[in-house]
Amino acid sequence: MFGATVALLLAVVVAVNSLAAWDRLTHERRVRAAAVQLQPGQALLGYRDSDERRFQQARLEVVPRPRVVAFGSSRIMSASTAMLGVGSGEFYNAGLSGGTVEDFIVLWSVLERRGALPDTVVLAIDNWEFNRMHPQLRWLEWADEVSRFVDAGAASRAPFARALGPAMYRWYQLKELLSYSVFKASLSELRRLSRGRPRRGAEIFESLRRDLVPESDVAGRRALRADGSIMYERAYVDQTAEQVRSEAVRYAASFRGNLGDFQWDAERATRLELLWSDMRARGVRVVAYLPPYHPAAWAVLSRDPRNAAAVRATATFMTRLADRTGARFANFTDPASIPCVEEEFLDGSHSRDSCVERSLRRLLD
Amino acid sequence: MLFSSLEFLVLFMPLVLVVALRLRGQPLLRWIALASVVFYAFAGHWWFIVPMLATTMVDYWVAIYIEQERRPGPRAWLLALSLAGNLGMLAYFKYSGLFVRTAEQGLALLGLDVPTATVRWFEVVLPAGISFYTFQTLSYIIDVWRGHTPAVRNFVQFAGFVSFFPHLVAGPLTRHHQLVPQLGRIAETGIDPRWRAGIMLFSIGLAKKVLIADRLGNLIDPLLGGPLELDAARAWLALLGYAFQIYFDFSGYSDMAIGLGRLFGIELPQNFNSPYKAVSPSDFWRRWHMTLSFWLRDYLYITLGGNRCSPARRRFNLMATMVLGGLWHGANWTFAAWGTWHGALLVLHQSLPSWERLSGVWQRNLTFLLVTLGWVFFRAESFTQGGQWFACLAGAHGVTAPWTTETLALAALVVGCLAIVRACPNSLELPLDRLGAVPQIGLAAATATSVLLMNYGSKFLYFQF
Repeated sequence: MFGATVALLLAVVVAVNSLAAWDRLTHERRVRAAAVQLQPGQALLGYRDSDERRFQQARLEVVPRPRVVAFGSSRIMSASTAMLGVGSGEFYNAGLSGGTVEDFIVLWSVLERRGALPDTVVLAIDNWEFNRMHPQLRWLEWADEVSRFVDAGAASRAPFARALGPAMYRWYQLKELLSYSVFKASLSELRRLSRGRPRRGAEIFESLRRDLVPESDVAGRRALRADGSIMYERAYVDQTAEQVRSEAVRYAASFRGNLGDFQWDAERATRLELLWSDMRARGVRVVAYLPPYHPAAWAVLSRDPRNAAAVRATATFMTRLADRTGARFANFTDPASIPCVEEEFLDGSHSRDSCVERSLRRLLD
Repeated sequence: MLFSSLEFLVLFMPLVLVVALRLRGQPLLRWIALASVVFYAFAGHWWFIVPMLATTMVDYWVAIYIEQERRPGPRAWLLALSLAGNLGMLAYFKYSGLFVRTAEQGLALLGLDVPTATVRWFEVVLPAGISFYTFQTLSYIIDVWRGHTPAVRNFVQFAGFVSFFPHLVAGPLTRHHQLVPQLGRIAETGIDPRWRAGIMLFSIGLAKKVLIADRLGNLIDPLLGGPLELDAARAWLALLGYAFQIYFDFSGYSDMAIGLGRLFGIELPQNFNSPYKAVSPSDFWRRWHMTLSFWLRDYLYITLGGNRCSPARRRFNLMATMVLGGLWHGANWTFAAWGTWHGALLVLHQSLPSWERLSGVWQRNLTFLLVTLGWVFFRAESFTQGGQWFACLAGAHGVTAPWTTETLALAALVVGCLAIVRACPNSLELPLDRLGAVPQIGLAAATATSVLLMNYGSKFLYFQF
């Protein structure tokens, strides 16, 4: 009685999850097929209506193996192929708005699975990522993927486990058939479909089919290039220095910018270490940096000892991690360290192309 | 590898059992020892097996030499060698960080710095379960030295005793006389599993861990994550929730371990006997983590003189035992404070004849309250946080604030847990071999839900000890 009941209940869950997984795989194949259509010289408009994470995932599934890949938040999203002075298709910018370590893990896993590992990874890390008090929820949509990487990373510390990599990946996929969170998502997805509503993530597919234009036709609108980098809209770029300065000061005092409530997030730090070690173990060169703040924002932040302590904690951790793994790290939090001046910023934390380019050149030279 | 993981339930355990059922004699013992080493290699870092194997080999030979040696001097030296090896390893892996941190803070007060290189040398990962297997081998060596037990002459059997995977990482802390003869018996006769009793008990433990302890943890951790500025109602809820979390987590693990042992035809010792039904602090320690309590009594308290000495000395013995027992749980002075708290409770209880005049209900509730207050020291990461928590409990940040869904869920869980620990029989008292259809279906539903929820579950709290 006991065994039969357990088996029956688990069988129902496996059946529902298998059905949803089959539907998801079919959909992902369609998105990948659409993602191929974005070619160098083209740009994707109106991506704000799309799921940025799923877009980057789909693109990383189809782009030719890049030599250099950038991971980070929106603060690195403007880094482009032209800026790095490499050939077309040799650079991919996997930056995301509010991108955190967990997002990097999932996107890195795509390259790993494809066997399309780059020679160099650039990691732009934000101080707020390690603030436990800072709610960051976007990555939770692929929490299972993150758990799989972390679990597999832990398991790979055992001897011979790395050689079993592909088998372990399959095993983790099978495990998801018995996951409660996957079961919940499967039920909700199947319910949507049964009611005739479009499936989640369908907008990427539509966007890729509908909103592709030559880069020259972007005409001051926000768009994504084929290398994943962002082109900002004219209104954002054309702000005056005064407007930017006041915005920067406001940002430094805002919840997101202020690090006064900083509490070290050891779990996220462990995840970054795992990701970083995995990259290094696969022979990938890792260069990481803390991007610069607008000088006015930095002046406000660095005046408060709590903010300064938070930046110091992140920089110390990153320095030690870089030392341990033989990677390169630079703390550019203070814009004078690059140097970047006021006119090279778009707001409190986003720099213009000239500053991004100088940061990257200093890192990669 | 956790018991509450699919790797363990679907791959490891069935494979180990299927092979074990076909073996007898030395091959069976070898298989159990090998499986245990593999299990341990996946418990964190593969190198964890190195100190465990070193302990196993050293203590195996030391025990034999102690038995062969008749002269007291060399016997004492051999004992000292084992004690130094075991306690030295424990001191390095577990306590060196604490001592260096303390020294660093002390030197900082004098304006001196500890070189970073020195500090890094002591930043070591704690091998899971080292406190458990070290204490097991220590008790074995001491008993051989005392002449209470003969040395084990079969290395594989001894390795099986040290590393038997159901109890390796978080107990029950099993003595050699409880396990070595059973290993000998199954080697002779083959495994005679108690399927039903084993699987049911394992399932109960799994449900305790995944459905209760982990849910409580998810609700409590956010409350205790930041600077503690909780209103009194939340502070008490967090404290009660933690009292139940640690109980269901650890007793759940123990149930799983005992259940697994039964699948190998081995009965591991009971570790919990409804501790929150205890009627006094002494009674609590006869019911909570019983195998550790009895170990501390037999090898520390009695060695210090036990009860056969002056009242003052007896109090000192109690305090010393409890402080060291507290430190056994973790390398932080807060654990020593937790041990001191319990030592003080035991001393006070012995000195208060009026306690016995209280009604059973009062005794039980008062014991529960005092034990629960002690968990503040256990859970707090520092004395500062502990102090903040006590201040919150006293209402320093108000008595109550508008309740959220999470707070209500925590309150409901706490009430449910209180009902379970007070009204339900202990899991080892349940007639698991002859459960009726309805309880079986209920347990099956709980097990299936646990399997779904455990996929990416948390670690057992007692792994860190």
